[in-house]
Amino acid sequence: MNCSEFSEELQQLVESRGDSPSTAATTHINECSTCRQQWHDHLLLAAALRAWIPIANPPSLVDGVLNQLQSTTPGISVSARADSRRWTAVAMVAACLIALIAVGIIHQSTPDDHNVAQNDRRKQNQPEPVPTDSGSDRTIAVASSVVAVLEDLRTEYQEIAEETRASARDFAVAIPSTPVTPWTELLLPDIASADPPPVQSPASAPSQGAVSVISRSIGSQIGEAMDFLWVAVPDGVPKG
Amino acid sequence: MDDRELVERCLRGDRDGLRTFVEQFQGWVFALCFRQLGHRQDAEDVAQESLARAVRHLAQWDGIRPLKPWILTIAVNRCRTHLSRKNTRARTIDSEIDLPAPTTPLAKFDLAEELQLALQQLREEYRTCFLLFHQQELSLQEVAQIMQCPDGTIKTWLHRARRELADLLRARGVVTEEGHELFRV
Repeated sequence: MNCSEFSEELQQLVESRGDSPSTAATTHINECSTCRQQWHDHLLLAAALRAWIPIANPPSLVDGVLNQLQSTTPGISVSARADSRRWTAVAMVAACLIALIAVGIIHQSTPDDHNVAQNDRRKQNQPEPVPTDSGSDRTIAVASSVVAVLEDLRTEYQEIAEETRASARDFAVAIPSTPVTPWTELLLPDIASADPPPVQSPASAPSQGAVSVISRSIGSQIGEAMDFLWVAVPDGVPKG
Repeated sequence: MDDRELVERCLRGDRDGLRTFVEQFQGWVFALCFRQLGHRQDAEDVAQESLARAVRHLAQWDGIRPLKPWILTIAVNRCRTHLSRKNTRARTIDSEIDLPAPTTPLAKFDLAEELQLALQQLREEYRTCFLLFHQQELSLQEVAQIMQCPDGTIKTWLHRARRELADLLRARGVVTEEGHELFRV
Protein backbone atom coordinates (compact mmCIF):
# COMPACT_ATOMS: atom_id res chain seq x y z
CA MET A 1 0.00 0.00 0.00
CA ASN A 2 1.27 3.48 -0.86
CA CYS A 3 0.44 6.82 0.80
CA SER A 4 -2.34 7.66 -1.65
CA GLU A 5 -4.08 4.33 -1.07
CA PHE A 6 -3.73 4.78 2.68
CA SER A 7 -5.30 8.24 2.56
CA GLU A 8 -8.20 6.88 0.55
CA GLU A 9 -8.75 4.04 3.00
CA LEU A 10 -8.57 6.40 5.95
CA GLN A 11 -11.18 8.65 4.39
CA GLN A 12 -13.47 5.69 3.79
CA LEU A 13 -12.90 4.62 7.37
CA VAL A 14 -14.04 8.03 8.57
CA GLU A 15 -17.08 8.14 6.31
CA SER A 16 -18.18 4.67 7.35
CA ARG A 17 -17.45 5.47 11.01
CA GLY A 18 -15.15 2.48 11.24
CA ASP A 19 -12.19 2.14 13.55
CA SER A 20 -10.12 -0.78 12.31
CA PRO A 21 -7.65 -0.32 9.44
CA SER A 22 -6.81 -3.17 7.12
CA THR A 23 -3.69 -5.24 7.61
CA ALA A 24 -2.06 -3.54 4.63
CA ALA A 25 -2.82 -0.12 6.10
CA THR A 26 -1.40 -1.14 9.47
CA THR A 27 1.76 -2.31 7.78
CA HIS A 28 2.02 0.98 5.90
CA ILE A 29 1.52 2.99 9.11
CA ASN A 30 4.52 1.29 10.64
CA GLU A 31 6.64 2.09 7.59
CA CYS A 32 5.60 5.69 6.75
CA SER A 33 5.93 8.45 9.33
CA THR A 34 3.66 10.85 7.40
CA CYS A 35 0.80 8.38 7.25
CA ARG A 36 1.46 7.37 10.86
CA GLN A 37 0.90 10.98 11.82
CA GLN A 38 -2.39 10.99 9.92
CA TRP A 39 -3.45 7.86 11.75
CA HIS A 40 -2.58 9.37 15.10
CA ASP A 41 -4.59 12.46 14.22
CA HIS A 42 -7.52 10.18 13.43
CA LEU A 43 -7.19 8.50 16.82
CA LEU A 44 -6.85 11.84 18.54
CA LEU A 45 -10.11 13.13 17.07
CA ALA A 46 -11.86 9.86 17.81
CA ALA A 47 -10.81 10.12 21.45
CA ALA A 48 -11.90 13.75 21.64
CA LEU A 49 -15.29 12.92 20.16
CA ARG A 50 -15.74 10.11 22.65
CA ALA A 51 -14.93 12.58 25.42
CA TRP A 52 -17.78 14.80 24.32
CA ILE A 53 -20.33 14.08 26.97
CA PRO A 54 -23.99 14.64 26.13
CA ILE A 55 -25.09 18.18 26.81
CA ALA A 56 -27.91 18.56 29.31
CA ASN A 57 -30.91 20.33 27.89
CA PRO A 58 -31.89 23.62 29.53
CA PRO A 59 -34.89 22.90 31.76
CA SER A 60 -36.75 25.92 30.48
CA LEU A 61 -36.33 25.23 26.77
CA VAL A 62 -39.58 23.34 26.18
CA ASP A 63 -41.69 25.89 28.02
CA GLY A 64 -39.80 28.70 26.34
CA VAL A 65 -40.63 27.34 22.90
CA LEU A 66 -44.27 26.75 23.80
CA ASN A 67 -44.59 30.23 25.27
CA GLN A 68 -43.02 31.75 22.19
CA LEU A 69 -45.45 29.84 20.00
CA GLN A 70 -48.32 30.89 22.19
CA SER A 71 -47.48 34.54 21.78
CA THR A 72 -46.74 34.47 18.06
CA THR A 73 -48.86 31.75 16.47
CA PRO A 74 -52.54 32.61 16.28
CA GLY A 75 -53.76 29.05 15.79
CA ILE A 76 -51.87 27.85 18.80
CA SER A 77 -52.49 30.84 20.98
CA VAL A 78 -56.27 30.37 20.88
CA SER A 79 -56.21 26.89 22.33
CA ALA A 80 -53.44 27.75 24.74
CA ARG A 81 -55.27 30.76 26.09
CA ALA A 82 -58.49 28.79 26.33
CA ASP A 83 -56.61 26.19 28.35
CA SER A 84 -55.18 28.90 30.54
CA ARG A 85 -58.56 30.49 31.18
CA ARG A 86 -60.13 27.13 31.95
CA TRP A 87 -57.43 26.22 34.45
CA THR A 88 -57.63 29.63 36.08
CA ALA A 89 -61.36 29.24 36.57
CA VAL A 90 -60.94 25.73 37.99
CA ALA A 91 -58.22 26.95 40.34
CA MET A 92 -60.39 29.81 41.59
CA VAL A 93 -63.36 27.55 42.25
CA ALA A 94 -61.13 25.06 44.05
CA ALA A 95 -59.62 27.82 46.18
CA CYS A 96 -63.06 29.11 47.15
CA LEU A 97 -64.23 25.62 48.11
CA ILE A 98 -61.13 25.02 50.20
CA ALA A 99 -61.58 28.35 51.95
CA LEU A 100 -65.24 27.64 52.71
CA ILE A 101 -64.50 24.19 54.08
CA ALA A 102 -61.65 25.51 56.19
CA VAL A 103 -63.81 28.27 57.64
CA GLY A 104 -66.58 25.80 58.35
CA ILE A 105 -64.29 23.42 60.21
CA ILE A 106 -62.79 26.22 62.23
CA HIS A 107 -66.11 27.68 63.33
CA GLN A 108 -68.02 24.50 63.93
CA SER A 109 -66.49 23.76 67.29
CA THR A 110 -66.27 27.22 68.91
CA PRO A 111 -67.83 29.85 66.74
CA ASP A 112 -67.40 32.67 69.26
CA ASP A 113 -63.72 32.32 69.89
CA HIS A 114 -62.51 30.51 66.83
CA ASN A 115 -59.12 32.19 66.49
CA VAL A 116 -58.02 31.48 70.05
CA ALA A 117 -59.12 27.87 69.84
CA GLN A 118 -57.43 27.44 66.50
CA ASN A 119 -54.15 28.85 67.77
CA ASP A 120 -54.35 26.67 70.88
CA ARG A 121 -54.84 23.59 68.76
CA ARG A 122 -51.88 24.55 66.60
CA LYS A 123 -49.66 25.02 69.62
CA GLN A 124 -50.62 21.60 70.96
CA ASN A 125 -50.26 19.98 67.52
CA GLN A 126 -53.77 18.64 67.79
CA PRO A 127 -55.69 17.77 64.63
CA GLU A 128 -58.62 19.86 63.54
CA PRO A 129 -62.00 18.44 64.62
CA VAL A 130 -63.76 16.62 61.83
CA PRO A 131 -67.42 17.59 61.37
CA THR A 132 -69.85 14.74 61.69
CA ASP A 133 -73.10 16.46 60.70
CA SER A 134 -75.12 15.59 57.69
CA GLY A 135 -74.46 17.35 54.40
CA SER A 136 -77.15 19.98 54.63
CA ASP A 137 -76.40 20.83 58.26
CA ARG A 138 -72.75 21.15 57.39
CA THR A 139 -73.51 23.47 54.49
CA ILE A 140 -75.65 25.67 56.73
CA ALA A 141 -72.95 25.70 59.37
CA VAL A 142 -70.31 26.67 56.81
CA ALA A 143 -72.49 29.46 55.44
CA SER A 144 -73.20 30.74 58.95
CA SER A 145 -69.51 30.69 59.74
CA VAL A 146 -68.70 32.67 56.62
CA VAL A 147 -71.29 35.28 57.53
CA ALA A 148 -69.93 35.48 61.07
CA VAL A 149 -66.39 35.95 59.85
CA LEU A 150 -67.44 38.67 57.44
CA GLU A 151 -69.36 40.44 60.21
CA ASP A 152 -66.34 40.25 62.49
CA LEU A 153 -64.13 41.59 59.76
CA ARG A 154 -66.44 44.48 59.03
CA THR A 155 -66.75 45.46 62.66
CA GLU A 156 -63.04 45.25 63.28
CA TYR A 157 -62.26 47.19 60.13
CA GLN A 158 -64.64 49.94 61.15
CA GLU A 159 -63.10 50.20 64.60
CA ILE A 160 -59.57 50.25 63.28
CA ALA A 161 -60.50 52.77 60.62
CA GLU A 162 -62.02 55.05 63.23
CA GLU A 163 -59.02 54.79 65.52
CA THR A 164 -56.60 55.39 62.70
CA ARG A 165 -58.58 58.37 61.55
CA ALA A 166 -58.61 59.81 65.09
CA SER A 167 -54.86 59.39 65.36
CA ALA A 168 -54.37 61.04 62.00
CA ARG A 169 -56.50 63.95 63.14
CA ASP A 170 -54.45 64.33 66.31
CA PHE A 171 -51.33 64.28 64.23
CA ALA A 172 -52.62 66.88 61.80
CA VAL A 173 -53.87 69.18 64.58
CA ALA A 174 -50.59 68.96 66.43
CA ILE A 175 -48.66 70.22 63.46
CA PRO A 176 -49.00 73.98 63.00
CA SER A 177 -50.28 75.39 59.69
CA THR A 178 -51.23 72.07 58.15
CA PRO A 179 -51.43 72.68 54.41
CA VAL A 180 -54.73 71.83 52.78
CA THR A 181 -54.06 69.09 50.30
CA PRO A 182 -56.44 66.81 48.43
CA TRP A 183 -55.94 64.03 50.94
CA THR A 184 -56.63 66.23 53.97
CA GLU A 185 -59.82 67.46 52.30
CA LEU A 186 -60.84 63.88 51.75
CA LEU A 187 -59.88 62.41 55.11
CA LEU A 188 -60.20 65.37 57.45
CA PRO A 189 -62.86 67.70 56.04
CA ASP A 190 -63.34 69.53 59.36
CA ILE A 191 -59.69 70.52 59.50
CA ALA A 192 -59.45 71.36 55.82
CA SER A 193 -62.44 73.70 55.95
CA ALA A 194 -61.43 75.44 59.18
CA ASP A 195 -59.68 78.75 59.23
CA PRO A 196 -55.94 78.44 59.12
CA PRO A 197 -54.47 78.56 62.59
CA PRO A 198 -52.36 81.53 63.53
CA VAL A 199 -48.71 81.25 62.84
CA GLN A 200 -47.02 80.04 65.96
CA SER A 201 -43.64 80.88 67.11
CA PRO A 202 -41.10 78.09 67.18
CA ALA A 203 -41.33 78.04 70.94
CA SER A 204 -45.08 77.24 70.92
CA ALA A 205 -44.85 74.54 68.23
CA PRO A 206 -44.94 70.92 69.45
CA SER A 207 -41.60 69.55 70.25
CA GLN A 208 -39.91 66.85 68.23
CA GLY A 209 -40.65 64.42 71.06
CA ALA A 210 -44.38 65.13 70.94
CA VAL A 211 -44.49 64.51 67.21
CA SER A 212 -42.65 61.25 67.72
CA VAL A 213 -45.21 60.11 70.30
CA ILE A 214 -48.08 60.84 67.94
CA SER A 215 -46.28 59.15 65.05
CA ARG A 216 -45.74 56.07 67.17
CA SER A 217 -49.43 56.03 68.00
CA ILE A 218 -50.35 56.02 64.32
CA GLY A 219 -47.74 53.40 63.58
CA SER A 220 -49.03 51.15 66.34
CA GLN A 221 -52.56 51.46 64.99
CA ILE A 222 -51.42 50.39 61.53
CA GLY A 223 -49.42 47.56 63.02
CA GLU A 224 -52.45 46.42 64.97
CA ALA A 225 -54.51 46.44 61.81
CA MET A 226 -51.97 44.29 60.01
CA ASP A 227 -51.77 41.87 62.94
CA PHE A 228 -55.53 41.56 62.98
CA LEU A 229 -55.59 40.81 59.27
CA TRP A 230 -52.88 38.19 59.69
CA VAL A 231 -54.79 36.35 62.40
CA ALA A 232 -58.31 36.80 61.08
CA VAL A 233 -57.80 35.57 57.53
CA PRO A 234 -58.75 31.86 57.40
CA ASP A 235 -56.07 29.30 56.70
CA GLY A 236 -57.55 28.46 53.29
CA VAL A 237 -56.61 31.89 52.00
CA PRO A 238 -52.91 32.44 51.27
CA LYS A 239 -51.51 35.08 53.62
CA GLY A 240 -49.19 37.84 52.64
CA MET B 1 -45.36 7.75 17.08
CA ASP B 2 -43.68 8.39 13.73
CA ASP B 3 -42.67 11.78 12.39
CA ARG B 4 -45.66 12.18 10.12
CA GLU B 5 -48.20 11.48 12.85
CA LEU B 6 -46.41 13.84 15.22
CA VAL B 7 -46.38 16.61 12.64
CA GLU B 8 -50.08 16.14 11.93
CA ARG B 9 -50.87 16.49 15.61
CA CYS B 10 -48.83 19.68 15.77
CA LEU B 11 -50.53 21.09 12.71
CA ARG B 12 -53.90 20.48 14.36
CA GLY B 13 -52.74 22.64 17.26
CA ASP B 14 -52.58 19.71 19.69
CA ARG B 15 -50.74 21.01 22.78
CA ASP B 16 -49.50 17.60 23.84
CA GLY B 17 -48.28 16.97 20.33
CA LEU B 18 -46.38 20.24 20.33
CA ARG B 19 -44.78 19.44 23.64
CA THR B 20 -43.78 16.00 22.43
CA PHE B 21 -42.33 17.50 19.29
CA VAL B 22 -40.20 19.99 21.20
CA GLU B 23 -39.11 17.41 23.77
CA GLN B 24 -38.12 14.99 21.05
CA PHE B 25 -35.92 17.38 19.09
CA GLN B 26 -34.66 19.78 21.74
CA GLY B 27 -31.61 17.68 22.56
CA TRP B 28 -30.31 17.54 19.02
CA VAL B 29 -31.05 21.18 18.32
CA PHE B 30 -29.60 22.51 21.54
CA ALA B 31 -26.45 20.39 21.27
CA LEU B 32 -25.84 21.60 17.74
CA CYS B 33 -26.40 25.22 18.71
CA PHE B 34 -24.17 24.91 21.75
CA ARG B 35 -21.32 23.36 19.78
CA GLN B 36 -21.76 25.88 17.00
CA LEU B 37 -21.92 28.98 19.16
CA GLY B 38 -19.80 27.95 22.14
CA HIS B 39 -22.04 29.91 24.49
CA ARG B 40 -24.78 28.32 26.53
CA GLN B 41 -27.18 31.23 26.79
CA ASP B 42 -26.86 32.10 23.12
CA ALA B 43 -27.38 28.44 22.28
CA GLU B 44 -30.54 28.30 24.35
CA ASP B 45 -31.93 31.40 22.66
CA VAL B 46 -31.13 30.15 19.17
CA ALA B 47 -32.39 26.64 19.92
CA GLN B 48 -35.66 28.07 21.17
CA GLU B 49 -35.98 30.25 18.11
CA SER B 50 -35.14 27.33 15.82
CA LEU B 51 -37.70 25.00 17.38
CA ALA B 52 -40.41 27.65 17.34
CA ARG B 53 -39.65 28.40 13.71
CA ALA B 54 -39.75 24.72 12.87
CA VAL B 55 -43.19 24.38 14.42
CA ARG B 56 -44.49 27.45 12.61
CA HIS B 57 -43.28 26.11 9.27
CA LEU B 58 -44.18 22.47 9.77
CA ALA B 59 -46.64 22.67 6.91
CA GLN B 60 -43.69 23.13 4.56
CA TRP B 61 -42.01 19.90 5.64
CA ASP B 62 -41.78 17.30 2.90
CA GLY B 63 -43.29 14.22 4.52
CA ILE B 64 -41.24 11.77 2.48
CA ARG B 65 -38.00 13.06 4.00
CA PRO B 66 -36.79 12.50 7.55
CA LEU B 67 -37.77 15.23 9.98
CA LYS B 68 -34.54 15.55 11.94
CA PRO B 69 -32.35 16.88 9.06
CA TRP B 70 -35.08 19.33 8.16
CA ILE B 71 -35.16 20.73 11.70
CA LEU B 72 -31.37 20.80 11.89
CA THR B 73 -31.33 22.80 8.67
CA ILE B 74 -33.34 25.47 10.42
CA ALA B 75 -31.01 25.35 13.42
CA VAL B 76 -27.93 25.66 11.22
CA ASN B 77 -29.42 28.67 9.47
CA ARG B 78 -30.36 30.31 12.76
CA CYS B 79 -26.86 29.75 14.10
CA ARG B 80 -25.41 31.27 10.95
CA THR B 81 -27.67 34.29 11.28
CA HIS B 82 -26.77 34.65 14.93
CA LEU B 83 -23.06 34.52 14.19
CA SER B 84 -23.33 37.05 11.39
CA ARG B 85 -25.19 39.43 13.69
CA LYS B 86 -22.52 39.03 16.30
CA ASN B 87 -19.82 39.70 13.74
CA THR B 88 -21.66 42.82 12.69
CA ARG B 89 -21.54 43.99 16.27
CA ALA B 90 -17.84 43.22 16.30
CA ARG B 91 -18.23 40.59 18.97
CA THR B 92 -16.10 37.63 18.15
CA ILE B 93 -16.54 34.09 19.30
CA ASP B 94 -13.16 34.17 20.93
CA SER B 95 -14.11 36.93 23.31
CA GLU B 96 -17.44 35.31 24.11
CA ILE B 97 -16.21 31.92 25.19
CA ASP B 98 -13.26 33.30 27.09
CA LEU B 99 -10.55 31.20 25.53
CA PRO B 100 -7.71 30.33 27.87
CA ALA B 101 -4.41 31.98 27.28
CA PRO B 102 -1.81 29.84 25.52
CA THR B 103 0.24 29.75 28.68
CA THR B 104 -2.61 28.22 30.71
CA PRO B 105 -1.62 24.80 31.97
CA LEU B 106 -3.22 22.12 29.86
CA ALA B 107 -4.05 20.02 32.86
CA LYS B 108 -6.95 22.37 33.57
CA PHE B 109 -8.77 21.41 30.41
CA ASP B 110 -9.98 18.03 29.39
CA LEU B 111 -10.05 16.65 25.91
CA ALA B 112 -13.67 17.58 25.27
CA GLU B 113 -12.98 21.19 26.18
CA GLU B 114 -9.94 21.21 23.94
CA LEU B 115 -12.06 20.01 21.05
CA GLN B 116 -14.71 22.63 21.76
CA LEU B 117 -12.13 25.37 21.83
CA ALA B 118 -10.56 24.17 18.62
CA LEU B 119 -13.95 24.00 16.93
CA GLN B 120 -14.54 27.69 17.53
CA GLN B 121 -11.49 28.48 15.46
CA LEU B 122 -12.69 26.68 12.36
CA ARG B 123 -14.44 28.27 9.46
CA GLU B 124 -18.16 28.18 9.99
CA GLU B 125 -18.72 25.77 7.07
CA TYR B 126 -16.12 23.34 8.35
CA ARG B 127 -17.52 23.47 11.87
CA THR B 128 -21.08 22.89 10.71
CA CYS B 129 -20.02 20.03 8.51
CA PHE B 130 -18.00 18.40 11.29
CA LEU B 131 -20.82 18.76 13.82
CA LEU B 132 -23.53 17.44 11.56
CA PHE B 133 -21.48 14.43 10.61
CA HIS B 134 -19.80 13.54 13.89
CA GLN B 135 -22.08 14.93 16.56
CA GLN B 136 -25.47 14.54 14.90
CA GLU B 137 -24.29 11.39 13.11
CA LEU B 138 -25.98 12.31 9.86
CA SER B 139 -24.88 10.75 6.59
CA LEU B 140 -22.80 12.72 4.12
CA GLN B 141 -25.83 12.97 1.87
CA GLU B 142 -27.95 14.42 4.66
CA VAL B 143 -25.22 16.90 5.53
CA ALA B 144 -25.06 17.87 1.87
CA GLN B 145 -28.80 18.46 1.80
CA ILE B 146 -28.72 20.59 4.92
CA MET B 147 -25.79 22.67 3.74
CA GLN B 148 -27.09 22.73 0.17
CA CYS B 149 -23.77 21.64 -1.29
CA PRO B 150 -22.63 18.73 -3.45
CA ASP B 151 -21.51 15.58 -1.65
CA GLY B 152 -17.96 16.12 -2.87
CA THR B 153 -17.79 19.53 -1.23
CA ILE B 154 -18.97 18.06 2.05
CA LYS B 155 -16.30 15.38 1.89
CA THR B 156 -13.66 18.02 1.27
CA TRP B 157 -14.90 20.24 4.09
CA LEU B 158 -15.07 17.31 6.49
CA HIS B 159 -11.53 16.27 5.62
CA ARG B 160 -10.21 19.80 6.07
CA ALA B 161 -12.12 20.26 9.29
CA ARG B 162 -10.61 17.13 10.73
CA ARG B 163 -7.12 18.06 9.62
CA GLU B 164 -7.36 21.58 11.05
CA LEU B 165 -8.79 20.31 14.32
CA ALA B 166 -5.98 17.82 14.67
CA ASP B 167 -3.45 20.58 13.96
CA LEU B 168 -5.05 22.81 16.58
CA LEU B 169 -5.13 20.07 19.17
CA ARG B 170 -1.51 19.21 18.56
CA ALA B 171 -0.59 22.89 18.77
CA ARG B 172 -2.27 22.95 22.18
CA GLY B 173 -0.11 20.06 23.31
CA VAL B 174 -2.63 17.26 22.99
CA VAL B 175 -0.96 14.42 21.10
CA THR B 176 -1.29 10.72 20.62
CA GLU B 177 1.33 8.25 21.50
CA GLU B 178 2.00 5.23 19.40
CA GLY B 179 -0.16 2.47 20.83
CA HIS B 180 -3.19 4.81 20.67
CA GLU B 181 -2.72 6.21 24.14
CA LEU B 182 -3.18 9.92 24.72
CA PHE B 183 -0.99 12.02 26.91
CA ARG B 184 -0.20 15.68 27.33
CA VAL B 185 3.24 17.20 26.84
